[in-house]
Amino acid sequence: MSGLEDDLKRVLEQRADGDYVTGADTMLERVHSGAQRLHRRRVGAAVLCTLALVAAGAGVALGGGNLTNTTPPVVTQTTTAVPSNGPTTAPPSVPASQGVQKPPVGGRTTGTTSAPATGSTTPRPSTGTTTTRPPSGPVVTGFQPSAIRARGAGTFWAVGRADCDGKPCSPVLVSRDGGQSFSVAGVPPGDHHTVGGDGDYLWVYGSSGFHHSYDGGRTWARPGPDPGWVTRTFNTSGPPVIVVNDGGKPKLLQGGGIPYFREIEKGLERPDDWSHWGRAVASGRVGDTIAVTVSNTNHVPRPTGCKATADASQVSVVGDVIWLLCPAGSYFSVLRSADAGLTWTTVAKNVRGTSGMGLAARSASTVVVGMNSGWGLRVITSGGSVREVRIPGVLDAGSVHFQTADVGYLVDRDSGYRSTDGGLTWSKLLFTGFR
Amino acid sequence: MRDADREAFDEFVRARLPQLLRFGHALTGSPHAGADLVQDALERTMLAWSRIDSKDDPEGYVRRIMVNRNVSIWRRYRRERLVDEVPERQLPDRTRDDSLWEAIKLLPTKQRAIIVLRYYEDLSEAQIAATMGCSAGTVKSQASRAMAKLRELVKDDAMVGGEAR
Repeated sequence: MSGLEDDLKRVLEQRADGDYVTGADTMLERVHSGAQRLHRRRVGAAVLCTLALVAAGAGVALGGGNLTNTTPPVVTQTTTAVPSNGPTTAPPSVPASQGVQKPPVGGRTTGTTSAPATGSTTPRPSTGTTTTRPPSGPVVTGFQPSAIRARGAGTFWAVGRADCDGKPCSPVLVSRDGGQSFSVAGVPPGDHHTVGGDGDYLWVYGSSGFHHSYDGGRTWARPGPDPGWVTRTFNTSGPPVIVVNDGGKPKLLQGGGIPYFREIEKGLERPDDWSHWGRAVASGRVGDTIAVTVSNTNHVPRPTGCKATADASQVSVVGDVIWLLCPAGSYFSVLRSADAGLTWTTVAKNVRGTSGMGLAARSASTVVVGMNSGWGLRVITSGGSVREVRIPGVLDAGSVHFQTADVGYLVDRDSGYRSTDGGLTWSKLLFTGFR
Repeated sequence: MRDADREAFDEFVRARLPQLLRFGHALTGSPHAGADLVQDALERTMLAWSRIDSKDDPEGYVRRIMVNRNVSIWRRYRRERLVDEVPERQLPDRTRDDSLWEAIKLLPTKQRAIIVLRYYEDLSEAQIAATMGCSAGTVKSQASRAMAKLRELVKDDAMVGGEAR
């Protein structure tokens, strides 16, 4: 590094490291009121925009336009099957002047839903509204993943943002060959950032709420009642296991019951983190230390020896082994228990870390910590070895998770990555070449 | 915004505000402009908070907004910053560090952002490109221009009367 570069680092650190008179409470007060103003401005702009569009539409109608040509047709029911594992084909574009429109993406039907697809392993409850994807499917371009969830070593789904026939959408893509190729599994209505699946059963969650599909993504429905605001999802087979938080105590829910989502763990109070592997495990503060609570153990928090700090602890479970990430300022430790939290072993102590870390169990003997700020991963074994893995181009590896001991995924900003060697090397997924 | 969301957001702000203010100061060259930039970015983050997944990096999200808003705010207000008179010369007894800090503040906004992200945040060219929404080539060329300009400014300043280190 040249002298000027050294000087730049020093000067920037010195000059920006001043005393700041703005306290957190003052700043929060300003931010809250400013955000309200900004929200009002955005709502006002949206209303004006809507009024302008309505006025423009009325102008067309009054000017002799044919309203039937400007109103999208309502899709009542689609019975044509779409192979869930095959690429969909877009209809040829037809000039608008011919008066033929493509069916809208996310057209709604009410009442009945189509028959369940064969091979679904999840019982199907009654649902409310159903959205049917047109058999031809939209043209999906510019896909940027928000989340990836795997089913096996080679099959995984990705949900994200894209353009569907030129309009913003949240399609679910599926790959059954380890990311070599993708096809559009479905386009659930609304905006989604979380996906999960098990065979033909898929589910997504986002600002449009929870939607699921029993036929590989062809039709989507909202379960009734809606489970609420989903803050975490778990990579389990079978019915989805999710954490919802509607302002009160977070709840761990599992799909498949009647009502559709049922609370499967009632004794845990505001944990820092959850994990789920056949049973629920939560980490949280008890006094000055972090304790872990395992379901079916009378909800007795078991002390871990990790001192509680401002940063949240994390747990990740694989089989009978519980891994715990214990943050402490700029450092972290990793603890392991093989007896449901009764005894703990510190396998790595005072490892340099970052904010926003993610813990992902790879196996009973290996765990991975994903970090942000371009710090990559730390692969930690039960024997205490810590291996540093840098991932070129990845800024935030906190979303890392493993489907098997070798196959893992992470999403960083608008890109997805896959590893087949336990996180030592990563390949960027190219979400192209599908229709 | 739900109560739990608001609590989580407030907790995040309380924990990370000093770091964000330092970053804003480095980005704008002024602690006050930096605080305004932080406030502006946090307002936007608060409205989007429910969309930020728990596994995301909210601080990175705020910093990306700060970098991009700093450029757009500067574009909006640059007319107001034009002055009729040449600003006063700095005092001749300042150090090389003073000169360098002033020179950083004289850089165009994008170039300053790149310098701050590279040398204050220790980001790579690819990471800077992703943060700023431009290509790595643009980052490289802009960084090169910024470094050339800094060398020139610091050298000129030393010739006028600045104290060389």
